[in-house]
Amino acid sequence: MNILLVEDDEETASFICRGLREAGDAVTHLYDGRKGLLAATQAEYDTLVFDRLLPGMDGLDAVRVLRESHIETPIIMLTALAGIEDRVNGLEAGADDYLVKPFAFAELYARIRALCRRKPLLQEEHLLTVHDLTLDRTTQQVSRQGQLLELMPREYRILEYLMLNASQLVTRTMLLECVWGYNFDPKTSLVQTHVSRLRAKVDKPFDSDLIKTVRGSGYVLGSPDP
Amino acid sequence: MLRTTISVFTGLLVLLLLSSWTVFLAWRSQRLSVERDLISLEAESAIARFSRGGVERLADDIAFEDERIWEEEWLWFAFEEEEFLFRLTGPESEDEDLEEATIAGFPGLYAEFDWDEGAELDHDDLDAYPLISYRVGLDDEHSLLVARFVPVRIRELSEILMFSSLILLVSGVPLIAATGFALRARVRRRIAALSLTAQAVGEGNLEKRAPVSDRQDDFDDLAKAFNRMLDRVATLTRNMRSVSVGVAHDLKTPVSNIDGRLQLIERDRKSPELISEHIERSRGHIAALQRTLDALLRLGEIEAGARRSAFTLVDLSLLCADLVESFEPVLAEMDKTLSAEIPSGLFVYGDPDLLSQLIINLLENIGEHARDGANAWLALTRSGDNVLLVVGDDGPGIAEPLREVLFERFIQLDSSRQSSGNGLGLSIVRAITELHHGEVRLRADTRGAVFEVQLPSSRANLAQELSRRPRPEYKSV
Repeated sequence: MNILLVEDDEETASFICRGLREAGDAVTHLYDGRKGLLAATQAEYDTLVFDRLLPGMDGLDAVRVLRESHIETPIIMLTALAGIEDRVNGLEAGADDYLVKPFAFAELYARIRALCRRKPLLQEEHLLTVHDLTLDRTTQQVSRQGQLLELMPREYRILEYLMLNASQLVTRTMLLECVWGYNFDPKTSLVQTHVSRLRAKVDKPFDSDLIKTVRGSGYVLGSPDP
Repeated sequence: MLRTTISVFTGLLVLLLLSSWTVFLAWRSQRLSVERDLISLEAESAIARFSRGGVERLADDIAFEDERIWEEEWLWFAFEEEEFLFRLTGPESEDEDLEEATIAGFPGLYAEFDWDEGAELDHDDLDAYPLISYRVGLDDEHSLLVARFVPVRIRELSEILMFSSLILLVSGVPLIAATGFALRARVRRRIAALSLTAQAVGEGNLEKRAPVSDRQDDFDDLAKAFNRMLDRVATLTRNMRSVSVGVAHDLKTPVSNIDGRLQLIERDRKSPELISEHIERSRGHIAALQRTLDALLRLGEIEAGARRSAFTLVDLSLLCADLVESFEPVLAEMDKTLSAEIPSGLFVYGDPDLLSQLIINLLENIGEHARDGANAWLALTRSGDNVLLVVGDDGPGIAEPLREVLFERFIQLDSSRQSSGNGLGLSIVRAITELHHGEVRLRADTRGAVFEVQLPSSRANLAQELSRRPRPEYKSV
């Protein structure tokens, strides 16, 4: 992937750049909001990562200008501002995702991957298939090895989200935001509990596990290791 | 009340003066316009006579007992009979000496404008009386000034009005001043009491309150408002003390834990398994730290009331059912059963995100503090214009000394501070409830901890809101 990072904090930027390069992606790093905006309009990127407070031009304004000029590249905003209003403002300006500092690199990377995969085609797909697991989005029926699984509505939505992002890391916060709509982290193991219930239905009765835990980060749904 | 009497008296006085002046001025302007009409008619007929017979004819008409130039005493006739005054001027009227230019009428009549209410008269006695005058140009050389004295009734009435206004002011103002002075002593006493209180509080005695009498007057209202403010200040100050201690503790503990793990990483450098264990633990501590900071920021945001703009109609029944579905398995894993009693169709006006957080905090409180095997429940009922949300468990409940301060920041239900909570959960519950104009309390008569949250659900408001959006739909999260 080709990623543009506009971030003025040296330390944050170097940790993101290093992570992305190690994952095999190309990163262009700029410090200045105005230059970032210019670069985003001139070259094709898969994802734009904008800090909220930037020299030259506010990240929020840059995003707004990009959206007004019909540049639809996925944008993630990074910010130290954690307020609910800040988040709403960021999303209203046209950012696709909003990540509050400090964050783990895995969290950012998972979100970048999710955004790049969020292609309209996949969103409209009626039948999602991973290995021997199928999810029918019109009838909301889930089956594995031809065997129908009884899922609770919440479990269905977790599975749907995992399958839309198959083979990618899905973090707990992503699930909280996308399945529950919470923008805060409950103290309790809400996500863990529901995922383990889902597992009991999707993986336990079968000989291989499709949902894998990534310690400290989240989950990956994919074909079992050979 | 003396004060009331005075203000009513003053008000009536001012009202009387204003209304009589208004009526008089209206009447006067109406009368003056009649005068003007009369003058215009006279001027028109003069023009007609001039065009028929020239200057001579007009001068003869103006003449008084065959004398074209009027003597001073003849003016008394015009004054008493309310007759017209004239001054016909000839070609020399441009000269300095105007009297020489007068062909007929009274030479001492002057006007500045065509229509002039301040026309002047050069006369020993009559010069004090107001005139209305009108100047018409007859041809290039001759012009005629037609004037009338302002009718006696207008003059007299305005004099009466002036005089009575003066009397009223002269007698009323000292009366008001005198009573005001008498009142001042009492006002000063009451203010002194307030200022003493303010001084005491300023010196650090936060428990001092202003005295409230049973007169229930403005001063008592002020004293009560003052005391409410002091109550709030005292609570905030108490909060701030516990907040500083709480913040310090809640930041210090994870930071020192992280530091400890870093030291262990250095020691266990050779064992990758141990290192990843240390790293994972460190990240857990950082997450706890972050949660505390987030909660503090959010609390500040809620208390600032910034979120009220995002209020919408919320189907609380649906929201609760959804939360129970999510948290029932979480609590089950912690060996607690959660049951729910949720009638459908209970709406409130509010912020769905914050209401979710309120309920989650109460449910998490159960998870942390209820005994193993406890039964917990969430119930929603309508009570009058309110919706009552009850979240409770059957033990062990909250110790007596903690009940008072339960909703303040950094109050730990476990004195050991060993639990994972940061003591902000219930502060957030209260802040969110207050943002929604509701009330939260801990029931006193129960074995376990039973929280009651009362949220206003004024049916009128809701009906209005419903009619605005025919199909209210809970925005599914």
